[in-house]
Amino acid sequence: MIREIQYNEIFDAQEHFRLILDSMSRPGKINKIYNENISTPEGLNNASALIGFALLNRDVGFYSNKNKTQIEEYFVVNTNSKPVAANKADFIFINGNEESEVIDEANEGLLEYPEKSATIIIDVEEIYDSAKDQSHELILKGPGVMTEKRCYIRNIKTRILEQIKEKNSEFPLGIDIILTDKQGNVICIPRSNQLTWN
Amino acid sequence: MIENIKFNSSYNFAFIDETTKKEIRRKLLKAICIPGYQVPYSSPEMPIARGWGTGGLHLTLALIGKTDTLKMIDQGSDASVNACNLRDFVQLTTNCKTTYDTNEATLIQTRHRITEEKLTDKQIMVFQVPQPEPLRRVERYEYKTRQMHAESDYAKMWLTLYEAFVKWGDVMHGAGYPVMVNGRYIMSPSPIPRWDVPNLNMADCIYLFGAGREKRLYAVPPHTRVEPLEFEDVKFHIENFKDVKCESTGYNIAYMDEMYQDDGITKKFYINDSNFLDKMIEKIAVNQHSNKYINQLKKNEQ
Repeated sequence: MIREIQYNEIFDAQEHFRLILDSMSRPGKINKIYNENISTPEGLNNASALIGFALLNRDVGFYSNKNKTQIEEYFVVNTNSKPVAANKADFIFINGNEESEVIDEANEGLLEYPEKSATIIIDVEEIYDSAKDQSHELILKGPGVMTEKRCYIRNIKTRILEQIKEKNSEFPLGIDIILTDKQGNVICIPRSNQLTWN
Repeated sequence: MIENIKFNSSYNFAFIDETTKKEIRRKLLKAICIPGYQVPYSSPEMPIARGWGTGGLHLTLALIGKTDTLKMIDQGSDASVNACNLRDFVQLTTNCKTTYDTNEATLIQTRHRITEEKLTDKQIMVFQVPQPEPLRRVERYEYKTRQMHAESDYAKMWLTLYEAFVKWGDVMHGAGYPVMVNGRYIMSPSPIPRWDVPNLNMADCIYLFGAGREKRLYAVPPHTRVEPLEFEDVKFHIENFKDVKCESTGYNIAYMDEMYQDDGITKKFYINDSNFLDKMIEKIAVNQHSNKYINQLKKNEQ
């Protein structure tokens, strides 16, 4: 697996972090994170890889269930982070296209330390801000959203949305979600927000 | 090549090493997801003493990039010692643009004031916090306050406010008035005057808080409910400057500084926010915060 030498771990990481922070503060806001100079392994969106680069290091563990060996090796080589079991992982990379039990297992923190929970990065086909065919309409309400925010996702399993809602039903316990698509569009769903969909 | 790039400077861009920045960044994201909850973080060693703005500095340095414009204020002033030194430090280690103009800044680090002018969704405000735990005055042990936050058990806090009212006829918190964030966590807004507290509510910008000595950071995302603690019959109120006027501008709907004159007896008042004062003097249009308390004052004025 190649080491991404085109990636600047000071300035690229900073720029991408600010975009993630912006998206996380304003749930449903689409930001673009993309770097054409990196070659991600099969099954990992460019933006998901960049989010990993910006946030992972030796202090945290990650879990990936798609194309497992390649993605694990990719992150280990580029970030020094360690692959761990799903219930211990700080970051979990999954595919929105496949139902998986990983979300149920994910760490949701403790009442005294709710920040010890997992962040889940979900790869989907496309994210947009106006309705299109075959898309799920997500409706977000809560901190960061003025009244309500609508965004549209293609190719995400309804079961995953149900799992997220279930997991986040007992605030402040819960998981925080980052959705990425193939073009580098990113939206976030922090646990503080109420999620409904059509 | 390695020599040229890596060892050209004796410190990293923005001083803190990348590993620690990543840790602070991860914690910042969690803080945003749980508004008002204090996230423990590493609080690395800085070239200034803990408790002199290191918390704010950690956040600023973890956030700042090449394209940012930084404004640094201390008690509303761009020119006080703490602000000047911290600004110089950040400028030296990042080579970023700095400004006094509130509207021009993308990143504002502040000690104990929110700017008088309204901030936009492109701006981030970072607070230096001396004591992040609002419950510390009623409970001295950290493990107990943590439990109280976990269970949302704020009876002691309410009781203290009630006792203050019984004893002195008012809730006596002048600065750092406790607030409820998103209906869940009680948070200390850092020692900002009461004047600024309503401006945290439903803002457009992101408010981030860093307490270096206490190793805690927390956040208020945009459009988040932030309510000062008050009773049904005893309401929160802000400072009232209705009998005084700013000596330079004649304006009095802004937070004021009280300046004793050389005789030690007479005093004059000036607008505290230095950039706001400059703009008022030069008659540049200002976009002041509006909230129900300030609106009421403006109404009374007419």
